Formats: sequence, C-alpha cells, structure tokens
Amino acid sequence: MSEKCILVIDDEADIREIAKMSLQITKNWEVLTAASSNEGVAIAEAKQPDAILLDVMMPGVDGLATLQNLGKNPATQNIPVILLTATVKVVTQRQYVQLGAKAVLIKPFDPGLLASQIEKALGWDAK
Amino acid sequence: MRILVVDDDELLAQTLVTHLTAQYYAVDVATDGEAGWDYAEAATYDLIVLDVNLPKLNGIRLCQKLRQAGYSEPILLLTAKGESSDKVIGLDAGADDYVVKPCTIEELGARIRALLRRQTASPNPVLTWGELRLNPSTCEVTYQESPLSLSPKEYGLLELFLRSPQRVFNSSLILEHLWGFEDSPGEETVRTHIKRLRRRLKSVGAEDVIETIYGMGYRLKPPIEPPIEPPVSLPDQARNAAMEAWEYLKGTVLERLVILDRAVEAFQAGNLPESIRSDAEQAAHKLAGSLGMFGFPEGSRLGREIERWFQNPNWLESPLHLQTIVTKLHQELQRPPSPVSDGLFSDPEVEEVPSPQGKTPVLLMIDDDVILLQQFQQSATLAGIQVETALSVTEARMRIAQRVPDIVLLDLGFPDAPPQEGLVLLEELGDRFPRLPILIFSVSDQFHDRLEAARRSKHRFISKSTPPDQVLDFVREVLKNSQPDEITVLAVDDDPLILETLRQFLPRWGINLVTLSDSQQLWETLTTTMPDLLILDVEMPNVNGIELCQVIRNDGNWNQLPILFLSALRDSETVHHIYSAGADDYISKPFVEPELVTRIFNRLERNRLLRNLAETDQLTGIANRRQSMKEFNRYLTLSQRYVQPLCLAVLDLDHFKQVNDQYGHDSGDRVLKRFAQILRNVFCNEEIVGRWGGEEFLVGLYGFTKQQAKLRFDQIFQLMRQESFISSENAVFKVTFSAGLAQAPIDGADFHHLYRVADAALYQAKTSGRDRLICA
Repeated sequence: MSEKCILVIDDEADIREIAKMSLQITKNWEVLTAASSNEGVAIAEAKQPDAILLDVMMPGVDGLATLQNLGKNPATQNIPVILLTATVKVVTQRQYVQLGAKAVLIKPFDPGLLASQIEKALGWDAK
Repeated sequence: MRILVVDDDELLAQTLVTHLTAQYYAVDVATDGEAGWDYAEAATYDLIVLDVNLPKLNGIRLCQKLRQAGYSEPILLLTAKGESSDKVIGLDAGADDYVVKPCTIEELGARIRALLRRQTASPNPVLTWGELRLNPSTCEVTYQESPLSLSPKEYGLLELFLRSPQRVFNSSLILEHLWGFEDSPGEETVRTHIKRLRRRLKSVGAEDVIETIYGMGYRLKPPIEPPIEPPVSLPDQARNAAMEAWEYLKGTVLERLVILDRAVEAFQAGNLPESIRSDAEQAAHKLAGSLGMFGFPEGSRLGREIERWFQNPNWLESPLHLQTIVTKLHQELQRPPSPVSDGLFSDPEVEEVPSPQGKTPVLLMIDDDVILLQQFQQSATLAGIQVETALSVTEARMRIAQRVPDIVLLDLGFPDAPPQEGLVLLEELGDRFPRLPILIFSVSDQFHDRLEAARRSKHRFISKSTPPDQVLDFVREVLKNSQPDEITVLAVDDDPLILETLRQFLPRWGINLVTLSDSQQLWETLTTTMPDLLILDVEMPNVNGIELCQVIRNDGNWNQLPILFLSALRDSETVHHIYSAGADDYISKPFVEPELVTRIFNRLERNRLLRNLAETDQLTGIANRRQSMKEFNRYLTLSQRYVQPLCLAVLDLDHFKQVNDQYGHDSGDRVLKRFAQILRNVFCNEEIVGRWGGEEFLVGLYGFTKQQAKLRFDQIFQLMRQESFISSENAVFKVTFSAGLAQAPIDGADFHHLYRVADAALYQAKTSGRDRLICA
C-alpha cells in the first residue's frame, strides 16, 4: 500500500504526539497535526490528507462543528473523517456516524494498532 | 589425547613421539604387531599410527584385527611402498588414511590432526567454546582473543573436553586418554589437573567451562548462547515509543491530576462550585482518553470512573468513594507504564444504553433483607440474570454510580431509614434514568405506598411474598419489553467470509446478528429470530436472493420487513432486479463498515417512524385502538401467569357532541388532546392509555384491584374539574367524563368480556349523573 497522509486535529499535545509517533512507526505514514479546528481545516484544504483524525472535545470550535465545516467546504468534503472520542456510549457513536463521520475510534487508543484501526474503518485493508 | 604408534623403526617412532608430545598428546610406542595388539587391547587410544611392515603381525592384518574387534577410532597407515595396491589393501582393511614414507614430520602431524577432527562434530580445525578457542595445529588457546598459557596436561584435558562436547568423562577415562602407560598416575591427579585448568580459565574470565556431574565425572558445560533478541514488532515499537514519551509528556497529564485534587478538596469542604466541577469533569475525561495510550489502561478506567462521578456529584453522598478513586489514580501513575498487548484496547468497556443480546442483564436489588437477597442471588444465576445488591439507599446510590443496572428491584420499606427515603430514591432514579425499569417490592403491601410510588414514578409492584422464580420471570419479561433499541439483523449469505465480517462488527453497534448460510432455512429462521432487518446476497445456491425477496414481499407477515442487498454484482440490470423485487436498499461488495452501519440504521429509523404511525393516534399521540388492545392482551397473559389483578377502564367525555357543536371542532380537538395528556401524565409508561375512538378512551392498570384503581381515577376527576377550556370565541367551558371499571379475571377472562362489562358500568355512570366512575 502506498504511504498515506493523515491529519490529526486535537487540542491535547500528548494525543497529537502519540498518534503521530504511532502512525509513523507502524506504517511510515506522513502525519500532519493541528491543535485547533481552524488550523486543522486550513491544513486539510492545503495538504489534502488521505484521512483526518478529529477529536470531538476541543475548546472553541469543537469536533462536531469542525466535522460539519469540513463537510460543507468543497475543498475538504471528500476527505474521510474519523472521530476520536473518550465517550464510549454506543448510541453516541452511532449519532457521530450519522453526522457524517466515517468511523469513531475510542480514546485511549492502542498506539500499536491505531493505524490498522484506521485502515479497517476506511476499508484501506480490503484492497 | 592418547595415541599409539606401532613402528619397528625406532628412530621414526622416537621422532614421532617427540613431535606428538610437543602437541600435548600422550603417546605409547609398540615396536611389533603383536605388542601393538596388546597395547590396543589394554588401553583406549584416540588414534593409532601403524607401519605396514611390522614384525610378527603386519600392519594390514593388525588393522583388520582391530576393526574386527570393534576399534572405531582413526587408524593411519605408514607405508614405504609407493604402490597403489598397498594403499587400496590398507584402506580396505579399515585404515582411514595413509602416509607414504619418507615423509616430513609436519605432514604426519597434520594428517593426525585431520583424522582427529573427523571424530568431532565440528569441521572447524579450531575448537571453540563460546569465546574460548583452541587451535590444535599451533596448540594455542585464547579466551576473548587473549592468549592463555596452559601446561601440557591442562591443554590435553581441555582439548579432550572440546573434542567431545557432550561426553561425560570420569577420572579413569581421562587417565586413559591423557596419560601413557609409563607415567600413569592415580585418579587424584586428574582432579588436581581439572582444578588447575578451571583456575586458569577462571583467571581470564572463562568461568564454568567444565562442570562436575555428580557421581559420573566431568563434562564440557554447554556455553551460554547470547540470548537472541526476538525482533520487536512494529506495533510493539510504537507502544514502546509511547511509553518512552510518557517521560516528557507526563507534565500536562499531571496538571490534570492537580485539577482533580482541587475538586476533591472543594467537595470535602462541602462546597463544589460549578466551575471547579466542570473543570474536574473535563480533566477526568481527558485522563480517561489518554492514559491507556501511555501504558496505563487502569489509569484510563479510573479516569472514566472519576468523570462519571463529576457528572453527577450530588448523586453520591459519601466523599470517601471519590477520594479513594482519585488516590488510586495517583498510585497508578507512580508506577512505570506497563506494555500492553494486542487486543487490550480493541474491545473497550462500552456503556450500553440498552443491554445488548448475549450480555448478562444486571438486576440491582435494594433491600435490607439479607436472606431474601441470598435466595435471589441463587435463583438469578440460574435464570441468567446477574444480581447486585444494596442493603441501604446510600449503598444503592453508590452501586448505580459505578454501574447503571438494567433493572432495579426496590423495597420501599426500610425499617432503619426514614420512610420517605425509598421514595426519594425512586424519584431521583426516575429523573436521571427515565428508561430504567423499576419494580417496587414491598412487604408492607400498604396501599398508601403503592399510590405514592405510582404517583412519583410510574412503576410496577410485586408483593414480597411472590417466590423468587416468579419475580425473576417478571424481571425478564420487563427487560424484554424495555429494550426497544435492541435490533436483530438476519444476514443470509453463502459466503462464510462475509458472514464472519458482519459478525465482527455489527455486535459492536448494539446489533444482534443472526447469520444463515443456507437460504432454504430462511422461513424457520425468520419466525424464530423475528429480525428487524434482513440482509440478502443476490447469488446463492438453491434459492437466490431476488427470488427470496419477492416471496417475502408477498407474505402477509413479513412484507414490512426491511431488506438490504449485499452484492458484488453492480450492473444496472441486477440493481434494477433487486429493487423491483422489493428490496429497500442495495450495497455493493466489498463494503465498508461505516457505510453499511449507517444504511442499516437509516432503514430501521424510517421503519420505526412508519410503525409509530401505525400504532399511535394521530390527534392525541397516545396508543390507537389496535395498539391499546394489543397491549392489554399482553398484560392479560401476564396477569394470568402471576395471578395479579388487571383493571380495564372505559372512559367517555360527557356531552362531547355539544362541545363540538357549540364551540367548534377545533375546541373539541383541544379537549381530546388535553384529556389524553392528563391521562398520560397520571398513569405510568407501562400502564395502558389509549384512544378507543371518538371521545372514548381506554385505560389498563396492572396489579391494581378495582377499589385501588378507583382511587387513582379520583385524581383524574379532580384534574378535569380544575381544567378550564377556552373556545376560539373566548368562551370558557368545562368538560367532565364518566368511566366504567372492570377487573380481570373476576369480571371476565378476555378483552371482549371485560370491555362489555366495563362499558355497561360506564352506561350506569352516565345514567346516574355523569362525572363519576362506576365499578362493575
């Protein structure tokens, strides 16, 4: 599989750092990071990543609003978004998917398996 | 090593002895064939050098004789004749090699070493043990590349062990191999030499080369292989990197702990301001979401527990619990992170709102009767229900804070508690978990309790004298009906891989999946599993999916079942066939999990809307005639099984035709809506409130006798009397109602009988002045 480029949008520095490390080590993917919604949307527009990992709970514009912004923006609406959340209620996850997220990953994630969870959620492993 | 030289040429023999002794071999010399035979019989030689021309017994014969006697070590022939026939005869007699005289002594030594090497496993001319090396051609011994000087006997000992690494040598064997006849000492000498050799080896750092096997002798110890590090897998590398990152990232994490500590302090001081509470909730949420990734899965779990606590801080009365879990979290983070293995995170503890199929439902029993609790524990395990117990209201709050049960069985009469405490809890539960079913369990059976409880929440009663098995049956029944969100999907596909894929992810979404590989069993499976949605494959052996779909659409029982097709065929003709057969949706293979799940939920959502339309009365929003009758029949079955009373009330608004005529149909509709609303507010979710048609309504009350039910209707009469309606022309008017009440089974065993009896009572109420209820 070709190397992927993933954008991680999360206000928590430790999550950004570990996600980046994990994807680089396990798959050698390129990882871009953004600490806020606005920064994230701008990077997504400019760099066109293959997928976006988006934290739900962020100060200011939160993850769900960002999800909508990405979906409305013609430059980013085709980039699959995976929501990251520490909320484990099945019903909530269902709602997220209905809001347009391609998948929901639960925090804390296993740094060893994050990449394969992304592949699985987006069907990248099927080819 | 011990060598026998058999040669009548004493000069040659002597040169050879000098040479071999210099190589630290023990050498015996025999000068004729018979003497050679005697030596060989008497001692053990690692190699024998034979001259072909020997007096008394020639070398060829001696060689044959030795081989026949079983001598298996190398034999080297020395021959003066360059004739090939001698060589052939010699080799055929059992010799391993030959050297033609005259030869140099160096060549002879090299041949001897080569022959000895053949006896050892290693083809390498240099003998090694770990980093210890012995070179037989130069007699040099090194350890870690620095030379080690050994006496001839020490060298011989070491070479002996190195040549036979597996073999155990006892002292006499060592004597035979290392000492010739002339200087053969006692076994004590062997021990001394072993000791010296060990000391020498140890002096350069080579310890434990030779081990003592108690009672047997000495052996070369297997060298310690440097452990081969297994290659670290990429996921493990990532995990290790995360654990290392903990060192420089823990700063921000520990700041969140400080926030928690501050909140605990504030809470203990009795004052938890909203700002501190919400900061703490957020900090706990972030801890829960991050700690596991650094190798603190238990930290994440505790974070989640703390988050839950801060979401509802007043819920728990004792500050000790909070203090304990925060302290535990501190302790957890004092420890180094521990590596996680695959799968630890793949199945996170998921809070199911409705308890999914296959998971043991949890019943929380709140009761101070320890013996009763024990009885329930035993019966429940058999019934597949997990029972948690709380002996007091406080304990109950703690249990619920830790884990929300699927159903609660609450005893209202706590002797040690103020009488209102159970009712307060009931109210709290009703507010916080409106969908949590609660059964009221009471020994007092005081009617006041029941009425009060029914008013406060809307839950059912069970008499405490009911045997545990029956109560559990009831619990199961309630659980079954209180899970409208439980979804069953039946998937029919002959490809086991597809079924397996579905099985891997649908259950995670709270979907109960039933799979079927043989489409011929579809009908049986449909009736046994009652699915909410069907997934079909187009191409299947026997009956194909499109045919199945058509048959289902033509069946009265199943024509409403949503059908979703999965197919690798995506040509427009097939897709057209699928839809015209009556399918609701179509997804092409290979499919992606989110897409499939979204489509399933969308389809079910639409279906639920449709079904809702079919079950509710459009004007008032309560159950329609068909639905209320259906629900009543269900309760009728329960009341028969558990010998509980069940009341049916038929209600009719008084002079409603006049309301319509006088104030208009709009006003009439508003009255109907308001009346329905009052009924719905007073009676609980599990009680039946329906519109029978026109201005006639129906109420079903489980567990109430007519006399008890009548008291509950008093409340409704009061509310209606207080209610004033205003017409579009601002005219104010009042509406009353009349009701007839019947009770199963005394007034009738089925719905129609009961309805007729209640209707007759209603007629009596009308004729005797209206605005009243008459019991049949």
